[in-house]
Amino acid sequence: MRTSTLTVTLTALAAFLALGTGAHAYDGGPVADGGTISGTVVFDGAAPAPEKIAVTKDKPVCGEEKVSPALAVGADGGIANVVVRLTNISKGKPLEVPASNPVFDQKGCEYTPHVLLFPAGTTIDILNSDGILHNVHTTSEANTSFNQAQPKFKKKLQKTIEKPEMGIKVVCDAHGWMSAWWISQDHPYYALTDAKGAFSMGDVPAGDYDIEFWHETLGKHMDKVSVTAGGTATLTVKMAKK
Amino acid sequence: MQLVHGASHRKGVVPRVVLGTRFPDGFRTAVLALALATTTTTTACAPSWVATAFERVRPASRQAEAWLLFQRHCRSCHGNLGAGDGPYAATFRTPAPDLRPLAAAAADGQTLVEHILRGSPPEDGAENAMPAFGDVLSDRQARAIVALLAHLGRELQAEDSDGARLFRARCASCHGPSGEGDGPLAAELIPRPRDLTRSWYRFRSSPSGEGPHIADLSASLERGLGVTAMGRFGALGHDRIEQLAAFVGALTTLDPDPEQATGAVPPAGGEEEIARGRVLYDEARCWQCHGVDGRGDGPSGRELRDDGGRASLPANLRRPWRLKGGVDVASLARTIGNGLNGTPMPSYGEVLETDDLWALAHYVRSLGEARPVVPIVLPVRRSTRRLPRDPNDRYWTTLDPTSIPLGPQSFVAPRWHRPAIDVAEVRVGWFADELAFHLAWDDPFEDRASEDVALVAQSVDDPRRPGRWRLPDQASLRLIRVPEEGPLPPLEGHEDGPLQARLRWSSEAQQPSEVDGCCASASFDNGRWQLVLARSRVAPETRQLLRPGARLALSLQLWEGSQGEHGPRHAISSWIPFTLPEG
Ligand SMILES: [Cu+2]
Repeated sequence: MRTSTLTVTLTALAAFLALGTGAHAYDGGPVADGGTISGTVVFDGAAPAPEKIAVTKDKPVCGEEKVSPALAVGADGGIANVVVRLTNISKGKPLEVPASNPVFDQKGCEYTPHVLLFPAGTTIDILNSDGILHNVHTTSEANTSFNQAQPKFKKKLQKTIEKPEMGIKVVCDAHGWMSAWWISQDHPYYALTDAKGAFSMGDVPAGDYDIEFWHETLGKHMDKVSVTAGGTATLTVKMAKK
Repeated sequence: MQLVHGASHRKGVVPRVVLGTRFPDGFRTAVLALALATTTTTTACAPSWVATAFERVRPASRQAEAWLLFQRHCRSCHGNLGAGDGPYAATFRTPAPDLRPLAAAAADGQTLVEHILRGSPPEDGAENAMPAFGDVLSDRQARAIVALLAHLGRELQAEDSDGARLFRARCASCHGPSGEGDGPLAAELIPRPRDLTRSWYRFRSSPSGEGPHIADLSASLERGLGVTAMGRFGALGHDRIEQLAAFVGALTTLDPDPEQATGAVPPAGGEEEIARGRVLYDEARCWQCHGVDGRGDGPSGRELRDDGGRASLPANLRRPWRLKGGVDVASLARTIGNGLNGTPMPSYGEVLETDDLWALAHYVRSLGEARPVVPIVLPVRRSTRRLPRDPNDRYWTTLDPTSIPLGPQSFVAPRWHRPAIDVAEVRVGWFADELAFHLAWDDPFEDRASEDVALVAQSVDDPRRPGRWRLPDQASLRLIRVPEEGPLPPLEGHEDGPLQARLRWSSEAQQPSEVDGCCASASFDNGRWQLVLARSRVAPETRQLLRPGARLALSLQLWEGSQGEHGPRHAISSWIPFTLPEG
């Protein structure tokens, strides 16, 4: 990764980050005879019609209209893009940074995926598949926020998110409707619901867990789940507009 | 709680205070902090009249109040510290004086108090009048301001340079007692004062997302941030600046790097470099926000917000004195490379090679125009043909333009200290019995629609709204007959003075339109209005033709509707004299 030679020193930041990650308390190792948690998150009530946003600029690339990605409810009421995680697990399978970098693409003035899960310390390949200027602007608490321009000639940018953080918001200032969430994990027991609202996480050591469901517009829902060795715990969770 | 006096002409901002009045919490804390901070003040070395006038009020609270009042009413010309270096003083032909030694030396502050309350006309040869503030300041408050200035004069010699004390005395009024951006003046400022405890400092030599270097903070304090309320504090002296910067640096959640930023030296920028920068400006789509001509009028401009949800308008790159991050090539390259944290201005450091950053910075620097000072006289051309009404007519380019500065309307309430427009180009033509004025000024948005003005007046300090008001753009040109010799009349005295004419234009009107008996015609292109205002050369009160040799003066007023300007909230120029040419 090349940084501008105008920048003077990164040493202070490096020291700061090293301290920050030291606080992380999760013990990874082999899991024998783990169980599985799977289930569905459904919308409580009548599914709202998807919100539509009129495109005001760069129409040849972005199109005339966008459907807001914030709340996507499927045909059977399943809610996509709900982040599911165990909140009180301290020991389990190891958290490993993926061998190939996850891809975060800007295409047709939309972010793909809309919610991206990755272990802390992962480098993300940010692509600009559009022939126009986007900027990747994050709002972060645990990590440092950044605002990176990505003109059409810069097809790939890379950013490493060092510290675990739930919900780093990503926006493009040039295209107000573009938004996404990055979830930087502190352990491997995270899952994201698919278009039908379904999720699954495996290799969970037997035990009782607190499980959290988080959606960007519906907020948080907490639940309990018991996992038995080799068994499958199934949950159906309803979330409603607050 | 001691008795604290604070009066304001603007309800709900800083309340008029009597014992038992409820305070907003921030105000109470700030005044307390200021009071604690300024106990080093002694009445012993103040002029005797100060002690008699204020014997019942503790000096610390008096001074804290005077500081707030000075920041609110005086700093846009006189500077935050009264050193004569306010953001608009740079346009004065006659420099604004350093008030501190004047006040410190005055045996009796009465003359200065009179100036504040009643204003004073321009001296002969000078262009600027001191507005009268008697409608918003009491006699007691004016005295407190003079005492404050005297104190600031003595502070120059004092050895105390404790960062914490300086912060509470000089910064807490806007940034709040603990630096969270919630000082008693914060609610009336746009842009809002920075929350100094957050890491997103904008003017840094560190990469996007990181805290600033101490040297960056010193530079901001020294330089001031454009035409905002955060003016130059260089008058504090180098040592105090260092102390303050170190104190502010310790407030951030990210440790600012204590190392000095080693300023990279930019390569020399020739025409080739600038041409390359122009190509990059297009390719990197800088125009999307800053506009094709750099006037801050790009298609994304109106929608942009900062991380606090406040409106964040792109900079007009042709007005370098408004650029808060510095205007030299090194500063521009740094801003482009690192971006401005917390704003929509992204970092280009990872997408452009270093030499491209330099080229782009050279190009942006080349766009910057010199800030004009008030001209002594406007040239007038006698035309051989009828003056065209079309502002785009080529004829107008044959006349020499004169750039005139505009500043805050600080004469009548409500005063307006953040005018959107601060320079206009004027051409004056004369044919037969007609005078015509060609005006051009930058305005990022062509505003035509109109909304309820009463509503606007209520929420004009709402930081989410600049750029989003639906009010028309307007211009007004006042014309007076002035004597051949001697000083110009005070600017605010126009109602009683020898007013010849007022030519008005509003973007709401269909064009060309009839205004005050004559004609206006406007066009808008790439962030710039052009307007022709014409009127007959007949003086209305005498019905006589103004003769060659007649001396007149004009003053321009401009309103930028989308930034909430209407009524008294506008930019205004000094009187600029001109003479109808002989022969
Ligand atoms: Cu975009």
